[in-house]
Amino acid sequence: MRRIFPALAVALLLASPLTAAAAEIHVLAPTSLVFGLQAFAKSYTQETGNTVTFNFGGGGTIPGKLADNNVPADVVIMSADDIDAAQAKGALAAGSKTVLGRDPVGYLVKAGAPHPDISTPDKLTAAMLAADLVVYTDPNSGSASGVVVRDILKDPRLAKARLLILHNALPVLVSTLTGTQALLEPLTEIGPTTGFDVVGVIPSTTHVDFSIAVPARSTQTDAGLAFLHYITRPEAAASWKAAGLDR
Amino acid sequence: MRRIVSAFALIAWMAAPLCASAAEIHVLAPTSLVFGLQAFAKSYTQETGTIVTFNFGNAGTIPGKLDSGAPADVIVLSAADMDAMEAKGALAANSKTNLGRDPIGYLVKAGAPHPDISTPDKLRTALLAADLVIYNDPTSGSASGAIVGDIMKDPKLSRARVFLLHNAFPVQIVTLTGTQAVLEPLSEIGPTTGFDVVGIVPSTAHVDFSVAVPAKSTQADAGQAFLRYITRPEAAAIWKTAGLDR
Repeated sequence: MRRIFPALAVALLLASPLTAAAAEIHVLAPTSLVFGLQAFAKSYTQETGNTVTFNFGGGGTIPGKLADNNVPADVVIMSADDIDAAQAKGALAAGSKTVLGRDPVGYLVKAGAPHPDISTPDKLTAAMLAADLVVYTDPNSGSASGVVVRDILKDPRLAKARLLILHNALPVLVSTLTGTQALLEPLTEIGPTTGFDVVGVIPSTTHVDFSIAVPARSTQTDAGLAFLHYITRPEAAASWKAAGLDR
Repeated sequence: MRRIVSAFALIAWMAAPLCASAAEIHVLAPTSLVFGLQAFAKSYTQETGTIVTFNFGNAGTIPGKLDSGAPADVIVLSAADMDAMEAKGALAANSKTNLGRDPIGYLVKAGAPHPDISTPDKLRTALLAADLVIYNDPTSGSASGAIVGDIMKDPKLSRARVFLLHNAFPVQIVTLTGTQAVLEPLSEIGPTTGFDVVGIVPSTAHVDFSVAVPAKSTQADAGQAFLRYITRPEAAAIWKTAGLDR
C-alpha cells in the first residue's frame, strides 16, 4: 500500500503541469550574466508561475545556438553586434530587439592588496606590466570580455606582461590570488564571490554591450516578450546595477 | 487518453525500481578520481543494475562529509585520513583496502619544450624557469595541492611565479602559453587535450588513496560489492588508463 501512495502522488504531480497554463521559456544567454539572470528568473517564476530555463555559454557561442533549430529559444541575449547581425538575417521577432546594457570589465586584486592606478589607458598599461600576473578569459572560447582584454594586450608595450588565460570558468570562482596578481573580468561575473577588491573599471574604447530579443523561431513569442519586458522595464535597472550591469 | 497512458507508464516505471532488488549505493570520493570512478560505475550498473551515486569533493573535505552525515556505502580517502577513520572505529571491519597512488604530472602546452624534471633539483630549476606554475590551492583540501605546496615552500623557489586554482581541474580551464606549467594529478586529465605530460613530479610525498565501507553504511554488503569491483585484479588496467597506479 505504501508503494502505491508515492506512485499516485507522482502521477498527480506530473499531471498538474500538463493541465495548467504555466509556460516554460528558454533563454540563450552569456555565462557572464548568470547571477543577474538567475535572480530575475527566480522572482519571475514566483510572480508568474512560468519557469525560465537557461542555456548559458561564452557570448560568442550564442549565435551558433540561435541558428540551431534544435536548441529551444524564446529569448536570446547576445552582444549588440551579434543581435544586429541576427536582426539583419531576419532571425528576430519584429520589434523585439532591446538594449540590455553594458558589462564593465573590472580590475580585481586580492582583497587588501594595493590598488594600482588604472584611471587612464596608459596607467592601466603600467599596472598590467607591473602585475605579477594578469588573468583573463580566453577570447577564443567566445568570451566577450576576453576580446576586450585581447585588444588592450595588442599594445606592444604589454608584450612582456605575464598572462594567464582561463576558459570555461568564471575566474573569480576558481582563482586564489596572491601578491599583485590581477583578474580582468566583467563585474557581472563576481556575484556572491568574495576575497577580491575591485580596483576599478578598466578604461577601454571597446565595451561589452548586450542586447536582448525574441527569436523569430520561438514558438512562444508572447511568453518570451513577457520575460524580456520583465528584465528591461525601468524597475529592473537597480537589480541589474547590483548584478554589475550598467543600464 | 494520452495523458492517462503516460501517467500509468510513469507509475509502472516508478514502481519497478521499488520492487526490484537493484540497490543504489552512495560513494564519497575525491574529485580527482572522477573519470576513473565514473567509468567503473557505468560498467557496474550495466552488469549489476545497481546505481552508483557519487558525492565528490576535494580529498581533504571528505572526512567532514562523512562526519556530517552524508550517505555513504563506500568512501575513498587519502591513506592517512583512512587510517584515522579506522582508528575512530568509523569503518566496517576489514573493509579498508589500498586503492592506489595518484602521480602528479608536470604538464606543458602541447608541443612546448619539455624541461628535465628527473630529480628534485632539476624539478626546482624547471619550476624557477617556468613562466608560471599552476596548481590546486592546498587550502581547498586538494591532496595534490598540499604536496606541490610543500615543494614550493623550498626557499630556492621563493621567486617562482605561481597561480593557485580551486574548485576546478586546471587542465579543463587553463589555456597554457610559453613555458607555463600545470602540476596536477594524472587522474584529473581524463579526456582533456592540448597538454603534454612532461613526466611525473619527483617527490617523497605521494597522493595515496584507500577505499573502505563506512561502519554506518546501511547497505554494507552492497558497498563491499562495489569496493571489490574496483579493487579486483582486473581493475588495475582500467585504473592505470585513468592515471592511478595500483
